[in-house]
Amino acid sequence: MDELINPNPVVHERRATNRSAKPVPQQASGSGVGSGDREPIDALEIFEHIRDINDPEHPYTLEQLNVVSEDMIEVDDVRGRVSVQFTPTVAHCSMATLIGLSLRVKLWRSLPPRFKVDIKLSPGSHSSEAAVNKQLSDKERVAAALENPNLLAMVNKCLAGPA
Amino acid sequence: MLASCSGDKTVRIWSSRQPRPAHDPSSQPPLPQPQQQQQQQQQWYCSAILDQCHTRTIRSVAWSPNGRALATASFDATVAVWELSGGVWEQVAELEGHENEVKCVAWCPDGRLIATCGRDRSVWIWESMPGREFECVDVKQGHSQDVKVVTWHPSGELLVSAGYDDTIKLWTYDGDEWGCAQTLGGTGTGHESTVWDVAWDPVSRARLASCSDDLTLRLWESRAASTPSTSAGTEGAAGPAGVGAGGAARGFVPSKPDLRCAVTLSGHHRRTVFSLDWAPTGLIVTGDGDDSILVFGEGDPDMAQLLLRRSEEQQPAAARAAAAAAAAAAAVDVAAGAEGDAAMSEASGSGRGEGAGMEQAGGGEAGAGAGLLTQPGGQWGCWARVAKAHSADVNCVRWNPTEPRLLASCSDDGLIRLWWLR
Repeated sequence: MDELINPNPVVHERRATNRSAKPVPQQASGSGVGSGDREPIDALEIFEHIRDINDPEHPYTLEQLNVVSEDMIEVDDVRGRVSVQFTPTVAHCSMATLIGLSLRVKLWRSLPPRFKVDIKLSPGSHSSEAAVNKQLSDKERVAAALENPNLLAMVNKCLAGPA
Repeated sequence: MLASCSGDKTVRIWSSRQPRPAHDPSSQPPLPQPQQQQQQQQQWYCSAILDQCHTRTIRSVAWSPNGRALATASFDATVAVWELSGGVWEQVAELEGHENEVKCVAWCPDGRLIATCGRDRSVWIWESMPGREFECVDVKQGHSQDVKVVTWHPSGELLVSAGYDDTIKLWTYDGDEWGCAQTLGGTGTGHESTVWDVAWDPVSRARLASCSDDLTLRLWESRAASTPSTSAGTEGAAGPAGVGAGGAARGFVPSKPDLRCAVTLSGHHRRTVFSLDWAPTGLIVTGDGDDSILVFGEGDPDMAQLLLRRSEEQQPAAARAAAAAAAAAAAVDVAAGAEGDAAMSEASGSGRGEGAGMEQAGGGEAGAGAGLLTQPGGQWGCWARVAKAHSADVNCVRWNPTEPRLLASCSDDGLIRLWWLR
């Protein structure tokens, strides 16, 4: 790439997360959702799925660039809802759609199909926030995009994990 | 017969086997709710697979009005026309012209024209020529974003398109070319997000329903119909809501559309409404991204229940058995049987059931399904909700055109379900 959109991003440390520090709420027995053995999926688990996605233009992960963070994830395990907000490093980031697409694909591949996933820009983080959000939530466009081999290759590159 | 299309690049034709004697439908609990029939599965089977034509997802499928041909629209930018010849479905024409993904295809009611639309923001109109040729007669640029759906008015004089630009456009023919006669929305009066589907009221043929990513359902009627009037044909329909929809037929001329939003039904859907269909019974069915199927009606749901019971009692026994068998059909979670399974429920998001088109095989004999169950002019409400109708987004819902109590739905879960209205 000749010209980077954000030539000098702030890079953060990969934080250590301690699962035992966050007690998982006990599933009420007989609630009908799953068996008592299954641990509900929580924000931390979602974060684990997406933290190491590569940024499309920098050799860093989305966590290192603070594009995703655990506190921007909401999960309703019982209803099967996941909401992820992400924050591009610059407000005019033309990679926002690709990042969103990567997040969506990663969670599609990682979560049971009963989960409905919403991917949105964090409010005020992008100059064309509404347009990007609309595009990311249009499943027909997303499906069509993922049939495009070039685009799918770019997504897969983001999902390939640390080099 | 039911046609379905999918992200697996195939179209499947589903046929029903010989009707078996069925239980009495009226013995069921009296709720105006589509229930999935659990008995008598396996009555429908996959009678044909149309493949090796499209190279990408097939997004839309439409029966020709005479039921002898099928049109398919694909993300591969082409539209194919298929005909049954010697017991085999053959591709007889290919409509090429769209720049990229074609998202919907619709036959004009007289079968002479086909409309298509897609991501290239255009609406194409094709004319059927001798020798199974189709010629593009017009390309309409009017939408500012991709066009999700096209539908013809039953008169054939009016074409509707809608999509990602949140608007609905009405196109009419002036003897030379098609032009945009009206745009609904875009001015704070219409949908606030993508319009996914539209359908005409098949009875009055004067009202249009639309559903959207904004979680609402909107009903559009002629401006002329909204003026209070005591003219004939609306007696007993002066509901307290004063919606005035009973007079909708008044004043509407398909070639000179003057629609306005008369009713907005909100608060019922929790996620994107992808599909809707309006039955001759007056009921509107919707399918959404919350895995739900909802049924909307106007007037008194109890009255509708009564009318439904009566129509079932009055139906000759033979017709009733046939209808019940057709309903049983329903149950076939298509993927539950046959080899369709693997392909249709393929993992990783492909193999989605994208669309469905329905045609009653043999037509004619069942005709008198249920009559009008709603009371035009009454207040609209949600009469039934089937939560978890599927285990994923419901992409398409369609009433059976000749047995209006039978409903088909398809979903990202790879299944087609058939439902029977009770």
